[in-house]
Amino acid sequence: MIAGVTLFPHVSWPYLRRRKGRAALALLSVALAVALFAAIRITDYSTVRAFEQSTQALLGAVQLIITHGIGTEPEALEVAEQTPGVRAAPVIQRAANAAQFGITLTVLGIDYARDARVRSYRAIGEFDWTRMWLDRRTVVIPQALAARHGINLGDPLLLSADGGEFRYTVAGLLRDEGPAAAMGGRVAVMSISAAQELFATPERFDRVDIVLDTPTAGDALRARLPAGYVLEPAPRSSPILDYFLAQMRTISLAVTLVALTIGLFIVYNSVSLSVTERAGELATLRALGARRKDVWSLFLVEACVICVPASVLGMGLALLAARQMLRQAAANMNVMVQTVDITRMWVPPDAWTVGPALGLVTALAGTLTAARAAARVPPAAAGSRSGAALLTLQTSRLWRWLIAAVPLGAVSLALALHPATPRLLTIVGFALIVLSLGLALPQLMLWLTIPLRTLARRWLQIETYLAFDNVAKYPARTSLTVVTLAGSLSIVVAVSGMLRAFEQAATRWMDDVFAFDLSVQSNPLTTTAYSGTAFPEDLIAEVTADPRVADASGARVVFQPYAGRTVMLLAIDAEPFWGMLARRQRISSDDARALVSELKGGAILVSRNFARLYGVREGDSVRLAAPGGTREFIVARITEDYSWPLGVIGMDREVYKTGWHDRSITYLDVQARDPSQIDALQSDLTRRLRGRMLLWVHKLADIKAYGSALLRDWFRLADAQIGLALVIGAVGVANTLLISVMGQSRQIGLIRAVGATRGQIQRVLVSEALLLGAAGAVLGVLMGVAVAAGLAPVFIARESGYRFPFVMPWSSVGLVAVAALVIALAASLLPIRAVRRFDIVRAIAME
Amino acid sequence: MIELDAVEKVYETGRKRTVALAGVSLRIAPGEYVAVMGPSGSGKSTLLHLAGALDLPTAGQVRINGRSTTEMSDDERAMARRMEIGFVFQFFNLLPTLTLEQNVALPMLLAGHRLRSSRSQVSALLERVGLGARHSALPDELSGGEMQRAAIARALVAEPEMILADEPTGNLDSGTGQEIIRLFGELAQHNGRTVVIVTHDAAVAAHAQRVIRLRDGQVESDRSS
Repeated sequence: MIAGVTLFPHVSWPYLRRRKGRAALALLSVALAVALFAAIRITDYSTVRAFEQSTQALLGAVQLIITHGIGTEPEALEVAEQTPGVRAAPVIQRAANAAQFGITLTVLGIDYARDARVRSYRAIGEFDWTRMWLDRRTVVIPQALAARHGINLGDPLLLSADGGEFRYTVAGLLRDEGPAAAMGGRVAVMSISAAQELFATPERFDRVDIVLDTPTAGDALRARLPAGYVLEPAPRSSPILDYFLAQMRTISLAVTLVALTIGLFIVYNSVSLSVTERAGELATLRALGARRKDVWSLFLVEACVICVPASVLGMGLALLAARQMLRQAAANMNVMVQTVDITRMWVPPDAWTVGPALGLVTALAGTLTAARAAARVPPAAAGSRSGAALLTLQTSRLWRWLIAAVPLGAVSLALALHPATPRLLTIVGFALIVLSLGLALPQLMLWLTIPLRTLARRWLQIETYLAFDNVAKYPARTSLTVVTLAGSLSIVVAVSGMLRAFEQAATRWMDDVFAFDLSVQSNPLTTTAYSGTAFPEDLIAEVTADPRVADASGARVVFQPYAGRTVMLLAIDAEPFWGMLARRQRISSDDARALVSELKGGAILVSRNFARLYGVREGDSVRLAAPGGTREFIVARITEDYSWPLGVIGMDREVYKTGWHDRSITYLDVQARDPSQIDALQSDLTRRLRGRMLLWVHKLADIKAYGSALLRDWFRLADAQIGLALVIGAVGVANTLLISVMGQSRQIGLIRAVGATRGQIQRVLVSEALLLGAAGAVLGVLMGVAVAAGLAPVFIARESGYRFPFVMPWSSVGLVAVAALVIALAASLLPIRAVRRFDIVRAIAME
Repeated sequence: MIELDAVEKVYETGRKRTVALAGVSLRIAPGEYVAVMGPSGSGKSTLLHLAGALDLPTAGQVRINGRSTTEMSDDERAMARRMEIGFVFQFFNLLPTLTLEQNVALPMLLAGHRLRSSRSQVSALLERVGLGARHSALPDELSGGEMQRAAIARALVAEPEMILADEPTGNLDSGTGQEIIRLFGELAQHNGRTVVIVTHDAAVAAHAQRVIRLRDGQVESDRSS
């Protein structure tokens, strides 16, 4: 290595300075790979930190919480307060709509006297907290929230939730710290009795927060609590958030690994050309006494040196990309989980180290093979300026790559497809498949191009032939470029294929089971999909009373722990629900009657993904934790349902009400007698309901469109990565074309000397770029389809139990074709510029 | 006709300034067989490159059939190289993946002709240089002399008025070199083409009607036999 360091300033540095463009491309490819990894890591870390900070702010010093299914009875508070060494505070923490500002607020219902012992609230100026206790229509809000929406002390604040809509007065402002800083400051604090009224949970709390003054107090409390109560550590994370973050991480990691593999190919291409160009110089070094390992170390030092600016640039790009990705992640998380502000970017220490380290590994791995070839340049070649012999040497060894690729590809495929493979290894398997493809393709290409070249020589125009010849002459370089481009493009096809498959399956499901015309929800279809506020069930009777309404079915959606995950519990009014389906002939009346009877008898339905994830079959029993203790249910049917990726349990709402003591509903589906009256019914219901509480009446078409938009938004998170991957692909093609110009300057010079115009040479390059682009597009589509139809479904089935029939994403195939064309043409600009400055005399003088 | 009028050519590499030609003026008439001689670095190849519109002078004028290369566009210079001038290089410069026939037809192919339409002309030329039976061979399969003969055929395919050759025998054994020189002689004598050969070899120059000697970028002597 010492020789490499010593020789670097005298041998490598002048060369890198002379070949600035190519050095810049290699540097850029490593930088982009570093950027992708670091951006994803920063996004992930910042999201988790934002959530943790928010949770931490809400929990304060709380160590344990007491829960009892959904909600906790006051007796738990009494028991806790009677236990020595325990500080207890009851809490109601739920979302309420503040429609006047178009936002959802997290309402904290507290008993200030008790809460002040576990959390710290700091009011601005003098604030008498007893006022909040005395007047149930007062709230306290964070200072920043007030400033953001122009709210002053004494202003009204309308909040609506399960109990209806209430008008509060802003009685005080909080400093933006502690609980007031949680959820991005979108918090309203009120007395616990006011919260019980707002959320229609009289005499119940959501939980009792506990701070222990002595280490043994926890055990004492646990021993004293009546049966059914659970004392558990205060949750610092959300299982739902964890699930979505894991999904995001999976997509991102897969894209990063593919990008790193692509970066490796680009580095290999650049270094191998540099070896070719410098064969004479290297031979001279060898003739003057340089050992093979000295030459080897010289290239490794070059790789290390390129890594320094590449890492700096990569981290800069990562910070820019992470900002964009965080915005998308925040939007996605808030739709799925709850309102958390992910405005601040935290850079984890490992992003600074692992990112550049990955870049270094990529650069070194890309350099190794070419450096080995460099070390083998014979001293006898001293004085020669051409590396043609060396290239032949490399070409003759391609079969070894193929031999290595076959077992690697087989093992990777088995690794990726095996059901027991952990997630990370599955992703590594994906990347290794791309790598083995990159290794196998040069030899395959060599075999393919020999007969094709003969045909092309006979039939193609000279410019097109020369382009084809350039592509075929260096199979390693060409096929790695094609894999580079194809790898980037395949991500587009794969993501789109998965999206289309999911979309089509979900649309078919919605068409089958959505028999309503209107749905009353507390969600304006702009805020959270999974944490809308609930409202009273009295509304069902009121809506059904309208003569234009054929039927109305209420539903309560809650999330329930099951087998270490969080499943969705969907309690529906079975009779009107299946009645609506039977009326629209989606199910026979007999079937509907049978189902309703089973559900009313206490049986449940489970979604197909639930059945797959937890190995449940019809007739099995499922045990669920409920406020009154664990309950057992028999699975009557397994149905298609795409509401929740961790599984859905459906039950009759009467059964749920008995078991969970919850009479509220999350939404109310309405079927009109006459479809022509839907619009009128929508506007009348909206007017009637909005006068009393904050509810929206949505048409079925809008809900379906919202569902599709949610899905697309989720996949959009991958856009930034895909964008970067496409840039890497473009860099790969530009690199190859530039190499093509530089590596064949003698040939270009000769053709120019015998009368080719610049335009003709440029046409050769454009044709070459288009050939690479077309090959990349074809392989990209094939790889994308293989991932979307073969690999991803296995992975998705394992993660969520979903199985979708593959749908060919034709629009993305078209997009990929256009993108490949644009990338190829854009990539040819740099080499075309090089041709403009081409020196014929110098080129033909080379030998 | 080729005319050089007070031609200067200076190469600048960083701070280094190399004067390759320093005010060279000469005129080569149609049908002349000219040898350009001189020691290494005297400017012989530079003169040939300028005369063949491969490069432009730093000062002065190079005219090919009365048209100044400086005033031509890049495409016009390419057309001149394609149709009016035939080049023969020391290292043959054949494209390795094209057959002999295609290599010879290259200027025609660049002009947009199909190989089919040029085939009879190419075959005749290959016959003439003694390679009639090797039209589908690849350059790798040929000897040095055969490759140079193929290069001469290529230089002739567009029927240019001028043949410019840069050390055409420099990479050949003496027997093969003699053969190539004979071929150039025929071209000048029987076909009325202008032939300009850059050479170190006095034996090669002996075949020319006129010998121009260069030294330090200037014409040292210009003698007709």
